[in-house]
Amino acid sequence: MEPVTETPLLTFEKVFFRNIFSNLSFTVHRKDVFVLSGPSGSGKTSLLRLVNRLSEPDGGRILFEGRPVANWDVVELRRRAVMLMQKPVPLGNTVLENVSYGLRIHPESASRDMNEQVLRSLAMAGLDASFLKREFCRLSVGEQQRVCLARALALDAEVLLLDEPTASLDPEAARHVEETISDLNRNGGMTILLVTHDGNQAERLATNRLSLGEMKK
Amino acid sequence: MTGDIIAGSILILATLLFSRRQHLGLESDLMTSAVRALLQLTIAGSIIHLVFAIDKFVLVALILIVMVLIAGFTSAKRAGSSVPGAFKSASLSIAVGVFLSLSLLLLLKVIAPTPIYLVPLGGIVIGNAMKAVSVTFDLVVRQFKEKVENIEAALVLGATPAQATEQLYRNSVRTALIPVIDTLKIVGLIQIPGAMTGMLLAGESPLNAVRLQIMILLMMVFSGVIASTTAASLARKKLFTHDYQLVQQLDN
Repeated sequence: MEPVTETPLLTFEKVFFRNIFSNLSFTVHRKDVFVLSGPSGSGKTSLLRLVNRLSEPDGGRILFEGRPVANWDVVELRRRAVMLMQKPVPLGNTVLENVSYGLRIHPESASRDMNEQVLRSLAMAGLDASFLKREFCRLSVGEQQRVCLARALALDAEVLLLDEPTASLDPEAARHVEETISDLNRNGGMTILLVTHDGNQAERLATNRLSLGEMKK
Repeated sequence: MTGDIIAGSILILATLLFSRRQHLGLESDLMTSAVRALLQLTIAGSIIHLVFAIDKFVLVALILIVMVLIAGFTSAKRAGSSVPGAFKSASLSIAVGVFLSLSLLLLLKVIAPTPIYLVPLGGIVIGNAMKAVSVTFDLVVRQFKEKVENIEAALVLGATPAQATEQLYRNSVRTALIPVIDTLKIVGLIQIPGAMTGMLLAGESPLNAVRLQIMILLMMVFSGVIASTTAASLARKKLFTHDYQLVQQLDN
């Protein structure tokens, strides 16, 4: 086996957070689909929030591209390690407003043709141009979640942090989103850190995995 | 004077009687409020009389500062513990609104730097700014709680607190200013405001009364906008850490 020489994308070193987990260490490499599974309350969501710096750890170190996350400019870190919440939430009225949200707040990430970027992200999330002018609140929950995924993808992040992205979806919509995640990784080379309580989903998607229930103190 | 006291007493007694007959249960509250109003206005009148007589700018400034602090305390009390440092933020917002509006009028020589202008106009503007700040705080906090998921959804994409709360900020300021803007719309049609009424009763010409009233209303709008936007900016700043995290953590 060839030794891995590149800097890992994400490293947890003996991280502890409240009384939820302690001494948590693991490494996520580029192009991994790293699945974190475990029962409710095992700290899966908290862990993603620590990477995105919505929360701070009580001890240990979290490194992103070899640098402690606390040393990153928080806006830059969040643009590179984009998180998708469990529940789809609108950030605008139409699908276009939603998918272009990140590009509007980070104009440096927007190309000259923002529409082209939006359409590409929509396509990656499995939606077509006919959705652009539709109102977010009139879409099905599954479609809303795909719009949120497209919104995250538009930023060309290094890693996607997905918090139970199929938890609020019906089986059909969940299967579509799962296929999209798989496709993003296999064909787009996207690194994904995915939280799920669904053991079968973890089995289907993971190239590497960690069960938080096992790590809990 | 005696006539005033008799008329005032009759009005209060009639209201008390009406409340009792209708079983409104307002008697005790009404009595306390009437006595408080009488005492507060008598004290205020005496102080203003003294300030007018001494005619020193420093005394006027002192009175305005005390008024701002009382207004700030009142607004902060309404915000409760939801906005950290609410008293400081409220007082600062009101002070900025009042300072800018009075300064503008002084600079343009619309009013003279004398107690007779500064104290009553300052009082009107402070009272109005206080209302705007109270409503702004209430709306910022309420919408923040309601929209916390949207705010976090924006933060995780790298939005700054200002970007993540843009809509909330705009809604809060806009709603806080509705009463004063509505007053501007209907003034003279439905209601003749206090200052104008006072001037007319004092025998001033209607045109002069209108001139002063328009100036007061525009001052109220201007100081309301300044106080409300300052309060909304300060309040939302307090709801985030330096690293753009929510102060009230929502982890589970």
